[in-house]
Amino acid sequence: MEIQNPLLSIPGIDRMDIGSLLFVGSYKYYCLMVKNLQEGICPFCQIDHKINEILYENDSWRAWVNPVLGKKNTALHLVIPCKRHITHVRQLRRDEGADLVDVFNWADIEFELPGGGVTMRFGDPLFNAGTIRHLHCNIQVPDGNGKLEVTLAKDKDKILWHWKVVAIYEKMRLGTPFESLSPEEQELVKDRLG
Amino acid sequence: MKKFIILDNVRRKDQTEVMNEIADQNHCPFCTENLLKYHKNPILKEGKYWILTDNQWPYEKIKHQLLAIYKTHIEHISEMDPVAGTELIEMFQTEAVKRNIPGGGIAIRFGSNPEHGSYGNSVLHLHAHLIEPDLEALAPEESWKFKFGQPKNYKKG
Repeated sequence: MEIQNPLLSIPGIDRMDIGSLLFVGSYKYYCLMVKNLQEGICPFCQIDHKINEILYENDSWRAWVNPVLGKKNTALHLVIPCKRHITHVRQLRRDEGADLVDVFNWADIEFELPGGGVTMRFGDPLFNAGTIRHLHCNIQVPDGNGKLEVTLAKDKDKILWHWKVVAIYEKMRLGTPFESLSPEEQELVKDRLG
Repeated sequence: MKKFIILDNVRRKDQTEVMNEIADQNHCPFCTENLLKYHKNPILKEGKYWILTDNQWPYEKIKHQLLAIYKTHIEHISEMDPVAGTELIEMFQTEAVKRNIPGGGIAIRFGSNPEHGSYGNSVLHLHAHLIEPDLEALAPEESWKFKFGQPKNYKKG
C-alpha cells in the first residue's frame, strides 16, 4: 500500500527513516532524531550508557531495562537490541535466534519472569509504528493493574495527520518560527513543542 | 487440575464453540497429539521445534498472521531450546520473504499468573505470532495493538 508523504524529503534521510520520525512525541525529540539520523547515529549502536545501563550481553544482543520509568501497567520492560544494525527479521542470522533465547534465559534468572509478552517490530515503520528502526526485542511484564498492549500500526488518516505534523516540524527546523506558522499549523503542534 | 486454555481471552464466536469443547476434554489443543483435531489450516512447515501454520482464528484487520507452535508442551520462554530460536527465525524469515511482508511484528505471550489475571493468551502452550497489520482496514483513529496484559476481573470495553 502507498501512503502519500506530503513531506517531500529531508536531506540525508531515506524514506524508511523518515517513516520512523512519524511517531516521535515532540518537536524537541524530532530535532534530536533528525540530527542523529543525518549524522548516522543510532541510539542502539552508539549507546548512551548513562541512560541505558547494559545488564547483559552475548555475541548477538544486549539487554537493559527501559529507562523510561513508571510506564503504565508495566512491572518490567527489558529492551534487547541486536548488536548489528539491522531493521528487518529477514536480516537476522541463524546464531542470533539461538542467542536471543539465551537472553530470555538470563532475563528469567535475573528477574524471575512470571509471564508477559515478547515483541519485536520489524521493517517499514508504517507497519509497526516504531520510532527506532534498529531491530530490537522487548520483554514486558504487566503489573496487573490494567491493560498492556504494543501498538503495531496506526490508521491511514492518523498516519497522514502525523505526516502533516512532521512537515511542520521540518519547516520549524529549517528556520520558520512558531509565530510565523499559519493558525492551523500552530494548532497542530502547539502542545508538542517541548 | 492443570489448565491448558483461558476461555476469557477467546475473541471469536466460532472459536468459543471449539474452545468449550477443548475445555470439556481438558487437554492442550496445541500439543501434537491434539492439534489436528482442532486446527484445520494447512501445516506450512514442520521443523524439529516448531509447527508453522496460519492462525485459524486470526485477529481482525491483519494481512498475515502466522502461528509457530512449539512442538513440546512448554509455557514459558525460559523453557525454549536455544536452537528453537534459530529455527523460529528461519521459519518466519522464509514466510516474510515469500509473502513480501514489508513490516510488522513478532509477538509471544508466555506464562500464566492466575493471581493477577492473564497475559492475554487463550492457549497457554507456547506459540509465536508473525503479524502484518492491514492499514487500509483500520478505522479513523484506530491503532492495531497486540495485547498481553489484562488484570483479573477486567471488563471488556
